[in-house]
Amino acid sequence: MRQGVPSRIFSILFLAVTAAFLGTLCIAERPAWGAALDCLSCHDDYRYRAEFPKSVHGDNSCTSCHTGITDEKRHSEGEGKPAAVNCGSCHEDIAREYRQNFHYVQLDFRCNDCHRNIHSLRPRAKKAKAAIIEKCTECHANEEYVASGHAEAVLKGNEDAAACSDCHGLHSTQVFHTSLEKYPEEAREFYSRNCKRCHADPALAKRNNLNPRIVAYYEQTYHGKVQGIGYPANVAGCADCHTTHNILPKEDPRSSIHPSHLVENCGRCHSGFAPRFVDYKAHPDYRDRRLYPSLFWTFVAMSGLLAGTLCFFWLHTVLWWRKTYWEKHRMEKAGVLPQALLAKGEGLQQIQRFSPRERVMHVLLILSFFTLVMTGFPLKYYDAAWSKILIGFWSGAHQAGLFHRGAALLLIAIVAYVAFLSLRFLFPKGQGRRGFLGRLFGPASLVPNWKDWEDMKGMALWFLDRGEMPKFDRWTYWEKFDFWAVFWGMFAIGSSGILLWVPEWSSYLLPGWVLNVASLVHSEEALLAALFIFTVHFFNTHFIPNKFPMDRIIFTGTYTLEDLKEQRPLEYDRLKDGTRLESMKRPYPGIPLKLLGATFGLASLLLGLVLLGHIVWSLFYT
Amino acid sequence: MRRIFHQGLLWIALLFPPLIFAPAGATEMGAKRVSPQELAQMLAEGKQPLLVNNMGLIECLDHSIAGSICIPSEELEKRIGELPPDKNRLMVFYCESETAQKSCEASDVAVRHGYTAAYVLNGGLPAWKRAGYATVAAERITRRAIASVKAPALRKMLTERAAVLAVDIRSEIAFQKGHIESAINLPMYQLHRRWRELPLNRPLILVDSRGFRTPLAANYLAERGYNVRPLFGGMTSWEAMLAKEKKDAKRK
Repeated sequence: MRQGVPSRIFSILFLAVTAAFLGTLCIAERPAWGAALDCLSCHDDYRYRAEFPKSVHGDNSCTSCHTGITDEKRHSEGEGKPAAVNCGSCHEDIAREYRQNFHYVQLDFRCNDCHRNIHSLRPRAKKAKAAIIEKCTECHANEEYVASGHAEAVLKGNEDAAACSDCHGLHSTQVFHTSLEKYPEEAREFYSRNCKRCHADPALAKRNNLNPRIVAYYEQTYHGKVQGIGYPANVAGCADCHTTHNILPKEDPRSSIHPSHLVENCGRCHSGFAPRFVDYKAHPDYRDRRLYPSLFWTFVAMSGLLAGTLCFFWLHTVLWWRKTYWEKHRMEKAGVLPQALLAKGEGLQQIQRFSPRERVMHVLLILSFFTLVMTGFPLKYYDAAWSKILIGFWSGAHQAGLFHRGAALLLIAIVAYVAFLSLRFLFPKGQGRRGFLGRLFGPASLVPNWKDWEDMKGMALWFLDRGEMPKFDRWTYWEKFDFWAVFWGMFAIGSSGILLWVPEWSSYLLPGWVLNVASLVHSEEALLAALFIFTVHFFNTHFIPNKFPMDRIIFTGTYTLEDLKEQRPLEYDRLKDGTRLESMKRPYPGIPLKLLGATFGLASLLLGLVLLGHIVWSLFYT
Repeated sequence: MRRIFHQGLLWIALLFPPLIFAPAGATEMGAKRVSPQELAQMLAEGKQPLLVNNMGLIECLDHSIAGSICIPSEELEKRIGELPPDKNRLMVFYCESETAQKSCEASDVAVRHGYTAAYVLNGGLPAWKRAGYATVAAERITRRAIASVKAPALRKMLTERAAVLAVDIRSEIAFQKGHIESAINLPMYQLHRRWRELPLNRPLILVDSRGFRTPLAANYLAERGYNVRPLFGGMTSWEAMLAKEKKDAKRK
């Protein structure tokens, strides 16, 4: 017996603990099941009894959602009504989104107005997207969407294709969606972003046999760039051409981009164009030789020109810098002062190199060039951070476009005037054609001649310490190159720019695809011009060690007789015996002119270098 | 010379008062604005502002800020006696457009009748909801699946099926300014009194200004056995359709 006591105590203890445990379990369970059972005793419905336990919310009790019943007796008498169901207490994120949803804000739709079968809601009873379409079209009958490629794919079970919610948001539908007329900019940006979200996704594109780079190609066009820089008001977003709901492949005769509809399609924004305007390619791949041969070869040619020109002149610049720097170092070490600094008396006499008219033209050229670069390049590199700042400086792409055209007109006027002056130089009054060839290839002409070739070879040898520096006349070969580069640039940039100015009118001259070529030429040539001016020209005339940081002659117009002798010895020899040298003598420039020239010149150089930095940054990092 | 000078003065006297007083008058007329946050603070501080919902009764009962009274802006002039006699009572008018148009009209009426502390809820009920504040439903109308009609489809219906009746639920003034031909006018704020006037045997298409009010009206009428659908986008989309057609015709 004595041994039996402890065993009995243990069994009693065991029973007590088990009972206590089961008791707590029952108490813990009671609110859920107990309450549910109590609810069902009055709210007896097949939905609650049979379907709800199997539904996605089946683990919850009635009172998890229908809160606020404090007094069961009052409730059963129809007095104490439960609080409104707050789905957001669990679905917090959705509730936060839905609070901004048009359907709630303006129409006061609540969760169960769409999720009507909430008590029998099964998880993924159907394909989700098909279910969404079914739900939305209950109220929004949309025959156009139902006939579209997207709908067809969704209904075939493709979960990649766009259902209503992919564009309009599921719980975040915004108000501008229904009134495109009222919020065109917001709507265009919003929807284009949604199109891009899927169509730029490589994995999705691959699964569906689409081109994942199509968005990138669009972003390389004028439409895409203006949209990308954040002022999408005046350019086509995706839906402007592809329409909103009835999006179909271009082979489909009902499609807005079917060849038979293109005139009408482009005509929604553009007007007054010839039918071949629609040959314009909205998202071409200029690297595709087979599909876009004209664009491909233009790209190859422009890249070749860019690389060739820059390689030659950059090498030229580096060698030149090496030579002068070494030379200067040698002279400094030996204590030899440059001849120009030793000038005395007659040697200090100022000689005019640039007339006031030429200087004014160069200042105008600088202003025009910087305006063009600062309005054009933000668009070229629309996704760089500095582009947004620059375009903001012009208060938007539209305004920048106006300044770009204004500056272009100024540049065209300057070049036309120079062409006129050149003709007058070649055919002076009273002489006509007599002596034309002599003037054309003479020392005062800017036309390259045999001596330039000799000078170039001479300079190359001098760079490599293999000879003396060649003796120059009025114009050196690199100055002649600068001069002709502007003319070539005007041909390439100017003609393409004029074509793009009013593209609708251009279509009467040329088919639409030429506009694609023109954009490419305009953009690449602009890059060449900016890089050339900001590196080669800046160095040749200003940053070269014996002129650093700038040569003010283009602003003050004069240099000393000693400078003339040293820099242009052949010109000096030509002039010294005649009376012309006398007529070229000028007083020393005044302080105001010097200060103004230095300020404007240095500011321009600095601005050019900053822009160069931005361009180089964009070339490598975007 | 003197006469010309005097005439000049006369002109100046005639022209200037509107120039000087008009802008000042305009700013004085409208009631002061409160943001949803400020209204919530008023309520929390126990200032007990009288909340006046200026939408139709159906809309007001379906969803309003707790404790509101319902007086449509169109009826306030007639029902001014329902406002408290204390002219200094704090009042906040609100409606359901972001420009707070109806509540501004209503507050103007109140100000004209000498109420000094009339406010307008800035951005209306939409702004209140966006800010995350709750509304209550006194008599909620069940939302059904009622398919809306788009403008081109409505025009097709009106020309092909004589039975279809367009019912314009905008105010009388808006209706008079321009409406769909053959449409009848039954303003939203009268719908709860006059819905029986509508024919039960004809399909109805409801028209409003932007398509924001017809879904509720359609549900209200559907509950009463009508075959009814709202026009998607309201008169805005109808007029946009006409403008687009005009533009296209011009191009051709």
